[in-house]
Amino acid sequence: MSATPLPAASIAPPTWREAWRDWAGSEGPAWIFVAKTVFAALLALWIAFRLGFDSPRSSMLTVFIVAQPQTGLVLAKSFYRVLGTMAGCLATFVLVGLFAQQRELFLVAMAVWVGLCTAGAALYRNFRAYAFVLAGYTACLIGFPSAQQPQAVFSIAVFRVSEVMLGILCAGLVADLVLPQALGARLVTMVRGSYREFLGFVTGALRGRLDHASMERSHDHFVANVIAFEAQRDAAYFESPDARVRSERLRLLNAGYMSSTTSIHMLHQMMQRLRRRGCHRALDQLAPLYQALATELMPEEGVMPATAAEAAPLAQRLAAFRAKLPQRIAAARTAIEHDADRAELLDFDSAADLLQRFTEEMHDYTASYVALARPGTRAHRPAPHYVAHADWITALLSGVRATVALLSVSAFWIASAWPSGAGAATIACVFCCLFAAAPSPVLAVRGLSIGFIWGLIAAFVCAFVVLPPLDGFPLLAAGMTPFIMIGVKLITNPRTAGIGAGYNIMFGNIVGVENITRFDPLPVLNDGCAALLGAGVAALVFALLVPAETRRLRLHLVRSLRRRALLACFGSLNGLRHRFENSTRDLLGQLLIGADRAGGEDRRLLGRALSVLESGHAIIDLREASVIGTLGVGSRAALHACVRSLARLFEKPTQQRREQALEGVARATSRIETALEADDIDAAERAALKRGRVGLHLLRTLLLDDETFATLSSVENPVIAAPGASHAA
Amino acid sequence: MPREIELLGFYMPTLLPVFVLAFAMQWGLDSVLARLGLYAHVWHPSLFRFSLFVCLFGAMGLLLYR
Repeated sequence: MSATPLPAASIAPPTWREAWRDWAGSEGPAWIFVAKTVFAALLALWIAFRLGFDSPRSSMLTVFIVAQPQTGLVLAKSFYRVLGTMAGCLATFVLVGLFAQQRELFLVAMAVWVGLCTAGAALYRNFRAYAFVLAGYTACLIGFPSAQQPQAVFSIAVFRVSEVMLGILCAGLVADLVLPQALGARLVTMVRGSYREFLGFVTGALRGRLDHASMERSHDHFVANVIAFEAQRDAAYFESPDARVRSERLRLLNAGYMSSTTSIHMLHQMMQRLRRRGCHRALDQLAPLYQALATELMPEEGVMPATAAEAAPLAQRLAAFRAKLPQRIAAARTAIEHDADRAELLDFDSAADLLQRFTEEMHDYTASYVALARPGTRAHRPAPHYVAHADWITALLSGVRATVALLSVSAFWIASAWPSGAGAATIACVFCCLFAAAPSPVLAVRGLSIGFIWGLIAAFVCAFVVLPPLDGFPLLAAGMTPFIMIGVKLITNPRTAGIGAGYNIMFGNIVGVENITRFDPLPVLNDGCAALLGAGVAALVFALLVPAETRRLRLHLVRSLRRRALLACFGSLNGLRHRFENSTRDLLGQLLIGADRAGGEDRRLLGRALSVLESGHAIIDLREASVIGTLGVGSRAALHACVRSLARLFEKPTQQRREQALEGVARATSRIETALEADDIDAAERAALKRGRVGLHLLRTLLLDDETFATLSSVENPVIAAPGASHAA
Repeated sequence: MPREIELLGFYMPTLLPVFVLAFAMQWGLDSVLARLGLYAHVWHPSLFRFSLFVCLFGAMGLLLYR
């Protein structure tokens, strides 16, 4: 052998301690979660046996369903599960009370209720959606057995609620007490990470070190961050009073993050446009201001603030810069006032206005970040609520899908007098509710169904091979533990989470441990087949009835992205900026999840959303200018007419409407300029009018820009959107 | 106190409303304690919270079954 000798370090096997630490670091948390879940499930099962519940397995299933690695997530899901179960119970009382004698009427009424709940779930899409899901399928779970014996409906409902409650109590207590993994800690990491990332991004962008593609990629990432953060904050609310105290400030932080990410991109778009049009004088004057802001944010060779407390000096520097900025802008403006024409001055004003706005937002964002370091203090200003975009058509379609699924399974159930029909109907309903808002429900149903098959096999082996020779609860627990562990371990990996969930649900349902032990494989197989049939019907309905991935439905959403500007045109001005921005970004986030990244769809969507945001903010500026007191009736009418013509354009962009909007903008501009020349207006009004003037200029630029118009109208006018087609406006 | 109470024609153990009451009390007490910054000095905050709840519920339950 002539192998060259390797350095000793690389051939020495890792010591046991190193190997252990390595394993505990990577796989440890997952196995802790598995152990906790198994323990909670068995605890719930044992208590349910001791209390003599009708079906102890419901308690165990509840534990499986609410099991999540972080305590906050468990508690949030539990809370909404309780709410949903209660609502479902009440609905069942009504339905059974009204229609118990007429099975057709009862099933139709049930299908309508499930459709309504599914629509609600699709409308909300976060943890709140889960309450709707539960309200829908609890009605099935209680309603189907009690329709056959209407006198027993109350006791069935009481048992169901008790079983769910018991499962939730066990899951929540074990998650919170045994080696808790708090969501709060993860939120802190998330907040710090996104602040540093954004700071690096902003300084890079201001110094001109980022190209357009990487800016777009980052923005994509920021959009996802805002939505993910809101979901986590919402869940952390349930975790501890500390989190509740901090919740409002976290909301403020997220709103600040959102608006600063938009402003920096609007600023970037503006600069791009100025560069395209060759406005060098304005650009030369603006460059030092950018450099100065970048230096304030992070001096060259400076270090990123690692924690909120370390960002405090940065917040002070930003406050000072923010206060001085208007003077510096005015100085820069006087420098070019002599040799620049009116259009270029207005361009400069627009860019400077955006810079001012970005500085203010960045300062607010940093200030709310710093405020997190001081526990126990209240938010320094009221935090706006997160405004999600709810799409009625998608929600309605989901509702119709669920109704159709339930009706068709019910028809089959009635026609074939199948003993397991109720099971199939329930599963179809569960799937339709659960995946109402999933981006690709067919895939999700497939994952869960694969899990169902494995769960069925495991349950069969467990119930008829492992369990029969065992006697007593400890042995039962020991016999079931390995099977449960497989399912829970599958959940910990995001790629197999769906399969794991299906496995757990099926296993828990079919293994069917009850107080009176039965040994009868036939119903087990029947129930298993019923579940698979229900899943199949749900998958069929998702795939056939206006599938969520359909082009038409997607185009509808893309169109609503543009119609968000109508909110800016007609929404009530109170808190409008945040509502408009938040719902637009939320819709963008929904669209980006299913975007075809290879085909550049994500970039097109991003461009569209940014144009809408830019125009919307300008429209809001204009509307704020139109409400000031000293404005004449004619001027106000002109401004309103301008807003209306813009709204018509955003409703349906055509060449004619574009020209009308341009006319409206021109008329409004001359009105505002006349108003600005008057002497009897105070400083605040003058500032509002100036902002409106700058907004009008921005709108004119956007309307004249063929690229922007093409992005906005790409759905309706593919011809204009095609590269090469140009328009001389 | 009766050990069973009637609500809308249904009988339920009085312990149930007591449980809800204890939960509400604990929620309030909890936020007060958090604002006072007590949890910075507690080893296992959620265990502490749970024990607090058990104390409250146990005390009220004992009063009921005295």
